[in-house]
Amino acid sequence: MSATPSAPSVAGWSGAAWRDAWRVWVGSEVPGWIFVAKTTFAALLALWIAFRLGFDSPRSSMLTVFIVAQPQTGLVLAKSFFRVLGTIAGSLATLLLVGLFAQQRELFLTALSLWVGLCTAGAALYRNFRAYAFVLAGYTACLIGFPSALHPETVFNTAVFRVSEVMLGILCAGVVTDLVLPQALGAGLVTMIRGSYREFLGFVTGALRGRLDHASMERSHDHFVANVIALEAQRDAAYFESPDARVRSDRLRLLNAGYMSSTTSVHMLHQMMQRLRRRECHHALQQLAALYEALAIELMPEEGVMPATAAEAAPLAQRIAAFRAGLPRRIAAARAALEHTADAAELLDFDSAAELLQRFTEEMHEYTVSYVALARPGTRAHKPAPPYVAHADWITAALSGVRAVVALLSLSAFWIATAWPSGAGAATIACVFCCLFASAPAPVLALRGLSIGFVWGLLAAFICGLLVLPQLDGFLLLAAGMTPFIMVGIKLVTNPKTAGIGVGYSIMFGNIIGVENVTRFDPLPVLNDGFASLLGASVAALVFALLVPVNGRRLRLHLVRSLRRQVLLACFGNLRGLRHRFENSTRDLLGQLLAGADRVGGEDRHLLGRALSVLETGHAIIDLREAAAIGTLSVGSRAALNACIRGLARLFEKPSEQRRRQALEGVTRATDRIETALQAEGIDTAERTSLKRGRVGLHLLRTLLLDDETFLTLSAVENPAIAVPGASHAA
Amino acid sequence: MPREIELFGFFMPTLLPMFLLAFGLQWLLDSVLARLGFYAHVWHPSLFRFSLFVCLFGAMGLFLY
Repeated sequence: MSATPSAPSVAGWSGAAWRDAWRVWVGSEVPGWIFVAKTTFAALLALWIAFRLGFDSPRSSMLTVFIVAQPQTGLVLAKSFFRVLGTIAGSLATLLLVGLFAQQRELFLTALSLWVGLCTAGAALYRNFRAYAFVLAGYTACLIGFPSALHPETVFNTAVFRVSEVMLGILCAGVVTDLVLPQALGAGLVTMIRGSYREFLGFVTGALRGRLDHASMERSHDHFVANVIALEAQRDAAYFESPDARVRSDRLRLLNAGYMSSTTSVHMLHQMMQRLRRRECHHALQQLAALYEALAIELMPEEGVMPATAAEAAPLAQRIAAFRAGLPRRIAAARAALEHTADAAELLDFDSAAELLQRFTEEMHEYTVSYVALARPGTRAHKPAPPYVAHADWITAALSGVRAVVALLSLSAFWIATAWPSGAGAATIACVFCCLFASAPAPVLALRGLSIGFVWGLLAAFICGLLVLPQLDGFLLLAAGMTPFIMVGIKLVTNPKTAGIGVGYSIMFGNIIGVENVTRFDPLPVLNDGFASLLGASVAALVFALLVPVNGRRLRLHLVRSLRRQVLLACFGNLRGLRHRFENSTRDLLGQLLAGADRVGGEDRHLLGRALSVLETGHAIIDLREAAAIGTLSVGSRAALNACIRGLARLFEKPSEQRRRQALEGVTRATDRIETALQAEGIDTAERTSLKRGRVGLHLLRTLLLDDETFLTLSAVENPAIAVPGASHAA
Repeated sequence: MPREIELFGFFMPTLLPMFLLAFGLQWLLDSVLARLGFYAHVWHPSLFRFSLFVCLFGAMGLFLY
């Protein structure tokens, strides 16, 4: 009896087939179920301890476990840490508010709304785990504030119990995640870093040999942006995981910075080559191609294999260092060969491309060195690591704050007007969601998932709380009765598609099941609280959809415009560490924009093109500013360079044909000045280098300004005829 | 040692500051051990860390009860 591989019947499966199927199942399903079992256990453990200690509301501990539950230890600990900070801040704020306004409910609710608005704005400003502290500070104030507004004398006790319950939940979740079959973040991080290094190496060698087409370039850059942001998020969380990860944290930041700058310079190099090809500078191209090929061979010999680990990349770092040392000589030789055949313009092009190649080699070397450094345990970074600079958008943050204030005030008004006993619950839930989704790319969609989860959670709580639990007696049976219901929710969370529904289900179930010290089995409060939560979620969704929607045209246009205005940062920011800050915040902003981009409509490609042009321009401007900062420059030359920078800033603030012309004139004047300065006597090597870099920057700027396509990419927003495709579609 | 400490008119169990102290101590010890490469010889590092914390906290608790 033999089974064909295409249609195997179960009866015909051999032992090997069964073993394969088993292995596939173990590989794909078991981690999820382990997570479900661990979280359920942690939740019930927290519930039990909370009962034993006689806390006011044991379910808060259980809910905390549901909320911080993550498969990897680092994520749990990071989320927990910021949850603790937020809870404490929120409790202190409530104590203050109740102390000030306990007698006046209107004043109290207004003050509370303002506090929540502030916290929401903070959460929108920081989109990583830090945001979570703000979320908690906001909604802890509601959780404690509403009950204590009715009984001000209990506020201190309520706050103490709330903090204790949250701490207990966090301790249980953290200890169980870390002790029982732990999954460390570190392992995934290592795989990710190796993967991105190899991917980048492949990309670079492909680009240097001119084997990449436009589409695959774009796809790779899309990946690079995602990698930068993911690496930072993982590094941030792994920091809490083990002291080992803390020691490496600086080196990881350095690696990420190196990664960003090398991706930009390889792009600049590639763009330069494209322009040379378009202008048919064959002689320069020929010489450059030889240089590129030499670097590509060093990076990856034709028959060579890519380094699989950081340790294996050590010889590569040495090869790049040797190449870097010999590069000026090679460039001088190539230039000498070129001088007979090429005219002055072509020579300038060659100089620019050679300068970019030199810079790229430098950055690739840095990147490889910091990659190799990861393999050595216990040593510090070889140079100070720049911090990750996220792009914080104040307008988006302020809008999020306003949304939360509006939602909370309208529900409070409804609560006061109708004297509905569950009004506080509705307001709290609205507040939770306004905070939680302040920085989500598609909050309305997320809220829909949550609301669906709410309905199912309400149903499950109804069945479990009113049909199952009354039959049972004692904690063990209570736990046994609740376990299947809890597991359903967490299983839903493990699947990314249903994660939102799972979170909604778990929160609703834990909240409504109402396991208290004195148990009541009464359907009325269950329904009242359930509907309050649903109303709260709907109001939050309404506010998100109506008040300047996050994915709406206006807000996106504002962000797309901010992307272009990043150039202003390069023009006027403090020069110290500017290159990294500019690079980092531009990439972060691009990541935010790409998260909500319409990929089918090609909006992502448009955004990428714009961001890459912005990066190119910004780096050229920074080169120019560094040249303008050298000591021996004459006053007139410095003024000309600064005027050129101001002209560029005006153009990028609001592009128009006239400003483009003015900027071009400024660039021409500055180029003349720099040429004169280069001829002058008495400048040392360092100054000469930065002047040369400035000249290359000016040359790049001129090509960018003359290039109609680039200008179009940058000014597309202002011109309605070529508005960003897909930006008008609101979520 | 007193079992409760008064702070601004609010009584809290002495165990609470002890918990925080034990946490800080554990953090310190942990970093030192990691720098020495000690965790390479441990089967279950997080279990070791947790046990270390329980030992520290328990030992401090002995002063109280």
